[in-house]
Amino acid sequence: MPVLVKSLGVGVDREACIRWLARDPIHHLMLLGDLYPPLISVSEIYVATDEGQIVGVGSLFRGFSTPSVIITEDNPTVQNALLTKMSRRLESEWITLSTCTSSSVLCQFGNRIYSHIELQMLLHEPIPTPVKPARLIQREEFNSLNQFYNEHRVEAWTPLMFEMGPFYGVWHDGQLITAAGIHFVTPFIAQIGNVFSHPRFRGQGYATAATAGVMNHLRGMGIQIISLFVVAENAPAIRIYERLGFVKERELIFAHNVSTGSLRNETFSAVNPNH
Amino acid sequence: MKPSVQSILITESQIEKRVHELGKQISKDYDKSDLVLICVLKGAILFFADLIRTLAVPARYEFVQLASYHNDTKSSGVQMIQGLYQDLFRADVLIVEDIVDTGMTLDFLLNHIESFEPTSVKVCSLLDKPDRREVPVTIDYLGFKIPNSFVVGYGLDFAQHYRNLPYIGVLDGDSVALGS
Repeated sequence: MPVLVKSLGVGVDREACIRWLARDPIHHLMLLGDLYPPLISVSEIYVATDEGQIVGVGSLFRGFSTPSVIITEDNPTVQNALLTKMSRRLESEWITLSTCTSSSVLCQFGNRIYSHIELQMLLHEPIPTPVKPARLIQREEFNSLNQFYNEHRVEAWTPLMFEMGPFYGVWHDGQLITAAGIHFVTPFIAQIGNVFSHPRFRGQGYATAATAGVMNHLRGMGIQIISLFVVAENAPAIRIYERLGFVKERELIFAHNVSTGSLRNETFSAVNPNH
Repeated sequence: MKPSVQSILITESQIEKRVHELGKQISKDYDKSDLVLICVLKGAILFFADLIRTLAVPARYEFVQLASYHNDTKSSGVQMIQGLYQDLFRADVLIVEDIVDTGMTLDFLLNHIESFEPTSVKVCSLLDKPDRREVPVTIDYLGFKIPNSFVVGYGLDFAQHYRNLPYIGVLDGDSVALGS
């Protein structure tokens, strides 16, 4: 029986999808994150089934200015089916994070214009680290956080993430100079992210303190698995995370692609001034 | 200096009359439908609020917010700031926009909504600025076709100002060009 791909909500239950992905939360973390509010509100979830059983899941996340494509890793046939369905909805450019194996399947659907290696790291034994001078960023301070990330073009940030979990920050003369937070939090796994220090204040332990704050907060919430991604060449950041108790888990390829001929090929060249 | 409103393009009473006409037509067309109206924030908020009060058919409501990005490369994207929570499968979706000009954000939204496999997707827009169109889109219910001027009021803004004006006004062109 051929693999069928449907949108979530078209005869596929979200809970069933979560249960299937949660069998392996470490490898399915991005897809799990997209299935929880508020990220699910800006995601298109596609589910592959074979004889009624779920065999794969894909997500087209629209919370970034360039859409992000994530698919489950196991089976090239399933991956092809998912990508064929999803490709009809893709604009000319899209980003993805995948294993080396999946990367070859993804290459059939887009020409890679940029790539780098990312490391997934997992928190094993947390190493006690002072959180001060970092502290939890309050709701009324959201605008400062949003402005800080936007000014410094922190790429994997969308304001929706603030709704999902803790963000910690360090201030200097009333200005936010370091922030760390999450990409998403689910009952199975949380992803630390958006860790950024103003260039003038690096090397002073602020990012370590803010990340420790987020890490402790997530553990206090009862989250069992805490993960993060870091650019493999970013040795200073990797050292920070190792000092906090994170251990390298696996390598992934981040790629920025331009759609091939089978995809929609529209280009956007202007901003609507009235919106 | 904040630019001034040079002239009134569409008066409050013209808007009110047209909104009622649109509401009547939509009510007729969507009788016995599972209608979901999607308000595109922030600009459509006043039009949406007035329109739904003229409808004689039951409907569900959703709110989305989109941002357009323009960069140095040929391509730029649309980002969803606030998205959809309701299941649109087999629903009759009506997108309510304040204005359609390039068609770029509307095309993005239509594409996204189609992924939920609704029965139908139509567009209701208060204003249409066809001279600026870059992506072809169909407007099923249109309030007014307007020339290529910078308009504000009744939800439309300039730097987040003027949304509260009860009419559609044209901003002073020189001021807008100078970004004042």
